[in-house]
Amino acid sequence: MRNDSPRWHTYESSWPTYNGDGFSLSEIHLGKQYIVSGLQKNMSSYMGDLPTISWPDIAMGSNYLLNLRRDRVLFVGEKSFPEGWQHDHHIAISDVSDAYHVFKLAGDAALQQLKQLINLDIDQASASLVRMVGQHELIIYRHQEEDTFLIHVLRPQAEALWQYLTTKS
Amino acid sequence: MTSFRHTSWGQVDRQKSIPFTYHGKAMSGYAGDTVASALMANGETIVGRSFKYHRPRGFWGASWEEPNGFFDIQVGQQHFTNCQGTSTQLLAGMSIQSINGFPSARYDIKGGLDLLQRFMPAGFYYKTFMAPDWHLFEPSIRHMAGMGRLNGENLHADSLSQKQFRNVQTLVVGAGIAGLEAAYQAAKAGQRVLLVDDKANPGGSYYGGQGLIEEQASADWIAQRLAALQAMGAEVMLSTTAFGIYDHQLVALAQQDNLTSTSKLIKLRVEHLIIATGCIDRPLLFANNDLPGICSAHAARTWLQSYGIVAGQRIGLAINHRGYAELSKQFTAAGAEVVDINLNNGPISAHGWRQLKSVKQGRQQHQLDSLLTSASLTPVLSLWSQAGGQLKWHAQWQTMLPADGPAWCHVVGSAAGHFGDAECLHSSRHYAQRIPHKDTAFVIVNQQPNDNQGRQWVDFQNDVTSKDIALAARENYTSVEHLKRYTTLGMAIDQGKSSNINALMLMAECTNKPVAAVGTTKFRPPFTPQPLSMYRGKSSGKLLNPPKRLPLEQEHRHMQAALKEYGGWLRPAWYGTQAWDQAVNQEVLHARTKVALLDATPLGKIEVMGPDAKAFLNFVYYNNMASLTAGQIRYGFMLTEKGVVFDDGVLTCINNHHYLVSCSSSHADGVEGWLEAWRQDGHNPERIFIHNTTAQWATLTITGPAAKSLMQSMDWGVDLDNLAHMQFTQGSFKQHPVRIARVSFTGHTSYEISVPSSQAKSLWHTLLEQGKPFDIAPIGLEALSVLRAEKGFIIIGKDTDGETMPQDLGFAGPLRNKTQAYIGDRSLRLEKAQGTNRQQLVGITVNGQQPLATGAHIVTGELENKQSIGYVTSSYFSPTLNAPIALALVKNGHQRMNQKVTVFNQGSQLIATVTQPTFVDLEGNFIDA
Repeated sequence: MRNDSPRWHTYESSWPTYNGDGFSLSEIHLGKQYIVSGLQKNMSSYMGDLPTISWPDIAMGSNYLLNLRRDRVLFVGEKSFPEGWQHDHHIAISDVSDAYHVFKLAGDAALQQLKQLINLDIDQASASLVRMVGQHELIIYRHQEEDTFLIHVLRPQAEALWQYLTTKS
Repeated sequence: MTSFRHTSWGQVDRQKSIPFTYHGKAMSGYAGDTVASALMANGETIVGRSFKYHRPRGFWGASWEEPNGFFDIQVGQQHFTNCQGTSTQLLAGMSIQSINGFPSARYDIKGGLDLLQRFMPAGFYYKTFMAPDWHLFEPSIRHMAGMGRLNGENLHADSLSQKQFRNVQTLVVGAGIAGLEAAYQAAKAGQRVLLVDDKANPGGSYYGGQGLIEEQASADWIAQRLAALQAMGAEVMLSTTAFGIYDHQLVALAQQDNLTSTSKLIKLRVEHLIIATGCIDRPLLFANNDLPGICSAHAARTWLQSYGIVAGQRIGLAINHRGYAELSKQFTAAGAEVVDINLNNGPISAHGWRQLKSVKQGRQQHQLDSLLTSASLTPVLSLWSQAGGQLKWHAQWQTMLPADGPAWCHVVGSAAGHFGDAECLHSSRHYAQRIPHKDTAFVIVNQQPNDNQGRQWVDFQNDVTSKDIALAARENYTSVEHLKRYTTLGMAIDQGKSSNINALMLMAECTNKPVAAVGTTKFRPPFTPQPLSMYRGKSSGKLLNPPKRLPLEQEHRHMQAALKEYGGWLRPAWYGTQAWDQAVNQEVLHARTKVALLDATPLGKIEVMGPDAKAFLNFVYYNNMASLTAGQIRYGFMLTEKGVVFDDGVLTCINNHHYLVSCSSSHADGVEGWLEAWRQDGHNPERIFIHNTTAQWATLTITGPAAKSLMQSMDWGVDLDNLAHMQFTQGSFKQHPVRIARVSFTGHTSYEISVPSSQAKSLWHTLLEQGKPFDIAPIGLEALSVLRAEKGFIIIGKDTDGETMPQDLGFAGPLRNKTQAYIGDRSLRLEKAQGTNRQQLVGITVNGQQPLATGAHIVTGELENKQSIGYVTSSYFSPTLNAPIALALVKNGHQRMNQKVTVFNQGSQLIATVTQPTFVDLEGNFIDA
């Protein structure tokens, strides 16, 4: 039986900043992340007055909601919430702080880099930030700056995405 | 054809000489040349051999419609095959070889095959090589046929390719005058415009020409339009081919400057598509119309205007319409003697050996070395058709024109049948409207094929003649699909670009139908051949399908784990440096006698929440989940609507509104999708929510006789003394939440411990440290497979197939007792499901030490009467029993207990015994329930 260990370099789950041609890629830590599901009005009343980010909005501040679909958001920020079904508010909450790595892609050529992965255009609005890239379900949005993009990628797929973004074609 | 280069005409850069070799002979061209123009400038007339008869062939087309001139080309260390001469830019140092001829196209020893043409009509392969077996002949026929040959040592496997996604409001395909005008109009209307053309220069048939457009020099008109486009922010991309249209208005563009440059695939979403792809000449049918020297009139004009190539010294014009009124003057001015042949005066025939010498019409004979032909103009409507546009036959012009089509797509210029310049520009200015054709603007003479004086070639590349089409009609291959397959018409690189219309007309005549009733084959992408390497972008090698990675990979490597892919995850197969089978045996025995540690992180962890969660899960699972209470775990199957086992796993009730579905590692995404689909169909999605938290939690399993003692020796912030088998609790581990489930994949006492992924390393090291007194050791997936099989625990997809139902696995209880509806319920009650001859899970034992081959068949009968009644699904050597064990799906297996059966594999067979699918701990004592 074959041992495939040498085929894959060791995955260390941390990445030094990569400087490419017109862009930089780095790992950042955003605090807590929660998936919250429910009717929009229920989520709004429970989560408080937080900005909800869709494409191509720019997320500002340290607490915000990422719109994933009509009945689901991803909370990003410093607050903590109890997990499970919140009966009084009719919403479901799961802590996914450890489920996602977050990469920051910044620079003039950042959008071009993303366009190698997906059909993404600043002029094409989209309520959802979820993007399917091959087998990867990514959450992509702009953060603080017009040319700074944050990418939430599931932890087991983070290494593959990093390699994809830093491999020259 | 004795072509030559004019001293000043053309757009090539005569200051830049480009050296290359053709069959080893040193030649030179100029910057801006194609391979075809460079070869013609060097006097090469025979540049290819036909596919079947090895007839000599010269260049016929201007660009991608060229059916004859293909080459193997070496540039440096890179080798490219089947390069189309007319669309391949000449590069310095190219080593060019013709294909399909040995030693060369000019002197091909297989040329004698043409003498046997009487015995090799269309379909002769099918009739001749039937007996005794086609496969006897296939290798030699394939060797003779085929086109270029790849040089395996110099493949450009390392060549780069890029992929890019884009959006644009309006895409205009074709930068001829129609495309330029349409792009200009769209940009002027405020549209975001992208104009693409497969050529390196804009202008289409006006590029390099001396003609006037709207009383302005064509070069000036083109330059003005380009400048205006640029000023309005429109983008122009040259050397870019729009080769395919796919769902949801996706247009695929291939961009490549030359053979060795990086190719780029652009996936473009468009709001509007304007097709200005022009038209090509339809070949004129007459005897020997394939002789070198006979070419398309459009091609000859392009060669002259772009490269300064004059097609011959004495040129005949056999043109069936008024579309090339200026050609005679152009070639006369270029120094050639031009003879106009009036096709109204009767059919013509070509004569010459290996190249055109003369053309006869009645009693008149013209001595010619080149004949420029055009039976009619064929609009290029591949993209229109791919977009869903209809075609209609225009009987008077003998061509297909665009009919009804999608509203987002428009055809303009000569592609829409507006052949005159004025009509062409008018259609572009009103691209969104359907401009009626002026039937008087384009008149052709109806040409009837005449086979009497020689063969008339319909498909130059595949050697299909008008007689072949008549033969196909006689043998009732009259549908266009059958015609194509029977005669090979329109196959290979050409895809019928030059041959389709003539073939349809001939078939219509043979079957006495109108052409519209004959139909046409569907245009499919790619419009022109594209290198496979372009499609990959970065997705090759390790980036093609990379596995998911474990948070503990470093720890596993540190313990010398052998890593392999299991269900898309890179996981430890076994640990240590000894032989793998020894390692696996040791790990199995360790788990059975002490305590073992398994990284089970990939196990699916899907949370289902909401007031209707319980009822929903009871519907989704085959097993009764309605009675599950907080802290309880139950094993269960999910079935498809057909009652087939889709997944197995355990369901945990965290509380009455919060459940945890633990499914197969490789199935987590599939189960999530399955649950989500049912949530949204038949249930109230406002009362059920599904979160896939697989990546959030790392799960470590400890299993074995000492597992309970180890767990009790540690502080989990919760009492584990009373945690029974199939129970769940939550505690804390170093101030982080921990979920502990007593479930077993091995049959021994086991605990699944889940912590947030960031705490995986801490938990791993803690368990190894705390487990030292119990001699804890890690085990890999191979040992787990053996441990599972020893207990008869199945792996879905391995021990089940697309027909396995739960009762086949020995789980008939819910079928009998569950009263609420569930997915697959009805199917389990059908006659087929209740049949007595179903394949059922059993154990198989054999004497000796050698495990059975997985996949080996359980058979009845002898010799040729042998019949398979099932197959081995899992087979291992069990170190616990010191004997091989196997699981199998066997017809009526539950009724065959203790029977002897024959196991057959690759010619050998042995006797085995059918047993219960449990080999170890039949009483279930290990589990300490």
